[in-house]
Amino acid sequence: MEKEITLEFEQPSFFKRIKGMLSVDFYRLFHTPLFYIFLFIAAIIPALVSMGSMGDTNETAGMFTNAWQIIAADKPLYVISNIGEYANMNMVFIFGGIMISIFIGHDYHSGYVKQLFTTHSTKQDYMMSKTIISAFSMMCMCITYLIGGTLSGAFTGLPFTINVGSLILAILGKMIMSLGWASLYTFINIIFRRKFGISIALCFVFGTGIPVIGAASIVGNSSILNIFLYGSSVNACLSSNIISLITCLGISLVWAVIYNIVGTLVLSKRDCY
Amino acid sequence: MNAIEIRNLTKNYGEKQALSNLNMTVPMGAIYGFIGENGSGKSTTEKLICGLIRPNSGTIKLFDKDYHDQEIRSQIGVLIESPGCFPNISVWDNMKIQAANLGIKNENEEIRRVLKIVRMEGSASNKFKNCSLGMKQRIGIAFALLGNPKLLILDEPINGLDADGMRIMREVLIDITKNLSCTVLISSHILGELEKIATHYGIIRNGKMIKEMTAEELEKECPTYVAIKAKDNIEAKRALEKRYKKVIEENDELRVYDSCLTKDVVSYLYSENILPTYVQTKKINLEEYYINLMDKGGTL
Repeated sequence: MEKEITLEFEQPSFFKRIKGMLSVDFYRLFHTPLFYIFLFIAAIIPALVSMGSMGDTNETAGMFTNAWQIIAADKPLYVISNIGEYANMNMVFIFGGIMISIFIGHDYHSGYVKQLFTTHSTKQDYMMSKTIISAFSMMCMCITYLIGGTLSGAFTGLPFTINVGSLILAILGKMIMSLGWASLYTFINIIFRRKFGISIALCFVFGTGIPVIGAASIVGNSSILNIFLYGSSVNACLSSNIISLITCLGISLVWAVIYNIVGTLVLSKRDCY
Repeated sequence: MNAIEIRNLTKNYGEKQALSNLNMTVPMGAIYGFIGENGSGKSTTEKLICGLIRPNSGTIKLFDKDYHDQEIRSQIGVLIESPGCFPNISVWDNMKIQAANLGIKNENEEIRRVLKIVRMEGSASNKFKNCSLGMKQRIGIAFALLGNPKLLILDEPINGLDADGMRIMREVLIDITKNLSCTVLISSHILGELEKIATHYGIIRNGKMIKEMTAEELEKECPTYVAIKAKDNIEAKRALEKRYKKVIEENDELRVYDSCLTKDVVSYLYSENILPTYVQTKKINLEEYYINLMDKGGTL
C-alpha cells in the first residue's frame, strides 16, 4: 500500500514577512546609485535656489530675507506670488516622487515583483514596505536639503535669526509629511505600474502641488487646504507651532492609511504582473 | 494528495479567452511536463498558480489548500520567463535578496548550495546583466531552488542552456523529486529533453487541457514500428501492404506499425525480391506523438 506523505509548512508571521521585505528594500536602496544621486540633488537644490535669489532680475532678486526661508516659508501661503514663497524644502517631495517612481518601476521592469508575489509576500506587505522605504528616502533627502540650505544660506550671507522652536517644528513637520507623500507615490506607481511615464508625470504634478495651488486660486489662502498633503507640507512653516506639527502627523498618517488600503485592494483585485 | 489540482479554470484577457475550463492534476512527487503550442495558455496557467494573475473562474488547490495560503506559497520555487533579478547588482546579491524575501536564515550557506548545484559558484560576483543567456537560466533555476521548495514551477527553463546545462537540469530535477519529495511543473518546447525526465504529461491547446497522462500511459500509446528503406520505396510499400495492415511512408522511410518482428518483415521483403537498404525497430517519441495529436486536432 502506498504510504501517504504529509507535508508540514510554516506560517510566516506578518513581522517576519515585512522584516524580510524591508531588509531587501533597504539593501537595494543603499546599493543603488539612484539614492545617492537624489540625496545630492536635494543638497544642491537650495544652493541653486539661493544663487537665483542673488540674481538681479525682478523675479529673483531679494527672494529671501532670511537664510531659513530656503527651508520653509514664513507663513503658510498656498497662493504664491513669487518663486521665493514656493522654493523651499517642499521641493524634496517633487524629486522624491521621481525617485520612488524609478525605484518601484524597477521592481516591475526587472521582474522582481514576480519573484516576490509568488512567495508568501502579500500585497499589503508590498505597499507598506514601499511606503516605508520611500518615506525614509525622502526624510534623508530632507536632511541633505537642510544641510545644503544651511550652507548656501551661509554662503549668500543671509541672516540666520529665527525662533529655533518653530524652525525645528517646521523641519519635523516636513519630514513627517514624507510618510503621506510616500504612500501617495507608492499608490500612483501601483496604479500605473506598467506605465512608467505616467507614474513619473503624476508624481511630478502632485509633488509640485499644482492641484492644491489651483484650488487655492479659487478658495484663497484657506487653512482647509491643510487636509491635503501639499497643504499640510506648506503649513509646516517658520511660524509653526505644536498644532501645525500634530496636523502634519494626523494628515500624513490618515493619507498613508487610505493610500495603503486602496493600493492593497487594487493590487489584490487586479493582475499584479 | 495532489500537489496541484485545478478545476474549471478560466482566464480572459479583455475579450480574449486565454484559458477555458482548464482541469489539471499534478500528483505529488511528479515531474509534470506541460506541453502546448505558443499562446496555448501554458504561461497563463503557471502565472495563475503563482498568484501573479487572477482567474475569472475556477479553483486552484496546492497540496489540498487554497493557492493563496501563505504557508504553501513560501514553499514554491518559480522560474517564469526569466529570473526576476536586478541587472546592475551581482548574482550573489540578487540571491541574497531572494533569500531574505524567503526568510532563509543561513542564507550564505544556502546560496552556496544552490549555486553549486547549477555550477555557478565561480560567477557569483558577476553582475547579472553581464551573464550570458544560459548563465541567466542557470541562475533562474538556482533562484527557484532556494529554500528547498516543495513545488517547482519552471517555464521554459531549458531554453538557452547548453548540453551540460541540460544534463545538470535533468539531474537536479530527478534528484529533488526523488530525495526531497519535491513536485515539478515544467513547460518546454524541447520535448526530447522533457521525455527523459517527465513522469506525467499535460497537453494544452487553445486554453484547454486536451490530454493528461502518465509516462507509462504515453509509452503504451506510442507504438513501436519497423522502419524500412528500400531502393524502390513505392514497390516495397505495395508489397508490405499486402501483408501488413498499417504501412505509412514518412520521412523517406516506410513504417510498418503492425506488431511484428523486424526479421519477419525483412524475410517477407526478401521473399518478394525486394532488397531493403535500411531496417530498424523504432518507437514513436513524445515529439511525434505530440505532433500527431496536434495534426488531428487534439484527438488521436
